[in-house]
Amino acid sequence: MTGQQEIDPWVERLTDSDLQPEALKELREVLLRGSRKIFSGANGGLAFCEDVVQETLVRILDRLDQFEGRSRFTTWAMSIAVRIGTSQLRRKMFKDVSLNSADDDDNMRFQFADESTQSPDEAQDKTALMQKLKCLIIEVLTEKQRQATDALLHGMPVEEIATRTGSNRNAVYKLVHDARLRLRDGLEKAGYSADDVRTLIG
Amino acid sequence: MTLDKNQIMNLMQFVVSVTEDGLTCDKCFEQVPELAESQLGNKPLNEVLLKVKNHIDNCPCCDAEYKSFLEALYEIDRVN
Repeated sequence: MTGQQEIDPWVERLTDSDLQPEALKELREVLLRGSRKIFSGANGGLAFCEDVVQETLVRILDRLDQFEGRSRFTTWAMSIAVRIGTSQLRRKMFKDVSLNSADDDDNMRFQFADESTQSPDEAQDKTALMQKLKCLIIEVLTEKQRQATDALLHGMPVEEIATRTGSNRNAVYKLVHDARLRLRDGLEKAGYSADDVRTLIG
Repeated sequence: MTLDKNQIMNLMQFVVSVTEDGLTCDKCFEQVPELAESQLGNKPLNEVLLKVKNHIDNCPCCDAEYKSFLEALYEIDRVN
């Protein structure tokens, strides 16, 4: 909030026991509208949306003091619903997927598709780039970085990797981000600019 | 680590597109409502919001969430 004299009307209503039930009803409608749009497809369903909104309302009431008024209240509330719904969907989607071991450097394989349409020079350049990347993955990344990067490339979201590794989303993001910087720097030191790489893989 | 062609492409893209980023996903999340309203209102982004945008460009998870968030806001605004 920007000041005592500028309390957002939503906050005012949600903290007033007489006004709260009606405010919650209105907010629920707004959040359901947004949630249905993004979650009611193949992965979610209406019951899922209802659950997400219910959990969001509870969290909002618990964190009203964290609303700083830098956006509309409903925008802030919807951001919380998106975070809750997305996290739940990701947990559901990946609950049976295991995290691969990262200690199998000897088994690291890059399976490129049929390259018969390329010229010998193109194929050779691409092979050299792949070899360099493989070497860098082994030489400059830690085991944890390899594991997290591999999981991410196989579609597992950062927060799910965090859950599996007993870490948190911020830490896993930083782990992977540092891995990317190390690989980029390694490629640059080996003479591959970003444009070179894009041309070769294009 | 076994990667197929698409995953190798993604890895390469992932590596060459990375930029310096001092934000965490949680810090980004705190600023996302303001970023969305600025972008939907075609307002110029201040220094803080540019950093948030940079984080979203670097983080596939925050990027996916942000796209869903914008979609939800469009829907809410459309009905209002």
